Amino acid sequence: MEADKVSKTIIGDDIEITGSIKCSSQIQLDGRLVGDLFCNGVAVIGKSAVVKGNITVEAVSINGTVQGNITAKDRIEMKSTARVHGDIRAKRLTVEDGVTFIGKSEVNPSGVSAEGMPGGSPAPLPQSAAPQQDPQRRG
Amino acid sequence: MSARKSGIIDGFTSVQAVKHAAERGRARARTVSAEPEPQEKTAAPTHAENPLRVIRPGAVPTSVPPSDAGASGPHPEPRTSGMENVSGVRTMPSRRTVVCYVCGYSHTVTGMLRDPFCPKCKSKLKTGDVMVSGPYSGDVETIGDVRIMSDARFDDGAKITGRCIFVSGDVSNTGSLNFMEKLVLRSGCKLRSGSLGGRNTEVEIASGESVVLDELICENLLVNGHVKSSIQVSCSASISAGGFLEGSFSGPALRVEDGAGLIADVHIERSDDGVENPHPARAGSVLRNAVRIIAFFLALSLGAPSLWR
Repeated sequence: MEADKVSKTIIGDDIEITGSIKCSSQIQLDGRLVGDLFCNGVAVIGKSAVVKGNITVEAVSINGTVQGNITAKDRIEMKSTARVHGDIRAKRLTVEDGVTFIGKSEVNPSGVSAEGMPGGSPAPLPQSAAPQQDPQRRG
Repeated sequence: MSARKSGIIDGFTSVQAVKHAAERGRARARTVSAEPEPQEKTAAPTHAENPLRVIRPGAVPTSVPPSDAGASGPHPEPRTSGMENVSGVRTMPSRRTVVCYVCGYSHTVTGMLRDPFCPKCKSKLKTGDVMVSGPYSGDVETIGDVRIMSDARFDDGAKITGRCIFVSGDVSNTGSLNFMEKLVLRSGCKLRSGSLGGRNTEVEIASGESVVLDELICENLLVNGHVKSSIQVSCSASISAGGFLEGSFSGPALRVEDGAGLIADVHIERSDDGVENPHPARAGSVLRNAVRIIAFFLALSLGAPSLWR
């Protein structure tokens, strides 16, 4: 029964964290983070939140300020109050009117893998809808 | 008194007929059942019955239940009879905005365009749609739509002016491409971004089309297809669910729907970000001018005009 419950971590707007955050479930960040955020679930960056670091998540909804790269396995949502300075990489993207975004975007609904870290060499994006081959199966 | 002869319509009989038709329509609406009456749709009106009756295509008189019609009172006001169909819904003529390509004057036309003259400059305007296929010499000017096919060829410096311009061919050598409402780009089009003019309202990448351009500068952009270009918008851009934008994008606003693709260098920043009190000195100058004006009028009343210097 407890496994069915999805835990959610909430970081208030008066909290400032210096360092990395890793979580397996949902997280809502309303405070200040100087460091990277790794989340296997859905992350919500609140309106008052400021993140100075990279974000690697399953899906993220951004209402605040992010200065860093964002990599999502599924979806990135930028709400009207979002301010993003950095590169983004996801499978799906939604941007509302009023967003401030400066950086590179790699969003391909036909499929993109989030294996490549923004700092290293990114995985090549498929031009067509053909599925990516597993490198171990080649040859 | 001569008896009214059937088949003759004069002013009095036409007004009476229209009035009777409206009353008959209201009475019929009160007693109509839920089942549609096919006779109402297919039967042509006769002059004896209803000379000015308007049958709306596909009209099904089921919107007014008989129990409510009588209790609620009269149906939509019969202001001018003859324009109401059986269900009481009035059909309004369409409106469109016409922009004169000579003086730029914009006005609204209701219904059919009868007078092809601009009300301001009195220029005679061409109203028809134009489709260009193959070599074409001269300018294209119309307040209708312009369709440029893939094999169209224009003279160098030619002017193309229309309400909506659909481009499938090469217009990169034209002098100007003035669209008053919308510019729709399709696969295979080539154009020079600096040639876009007119009211320049919206540029659209048609759905299912793939457009490759060096540069695209416009006011508003709607991406329904695939576009690869260096894009600058001055107002806003939108990528629909089936759209894909490659290259680079710069502008104050961008809206991306779920399912859209975006592989580009993006710069979305409003111009008022970080700008506070852009003209702080103007307040003082306004106050000084106000004092001068007051002093001038005081001096006039006192009879000493030199005091306002």
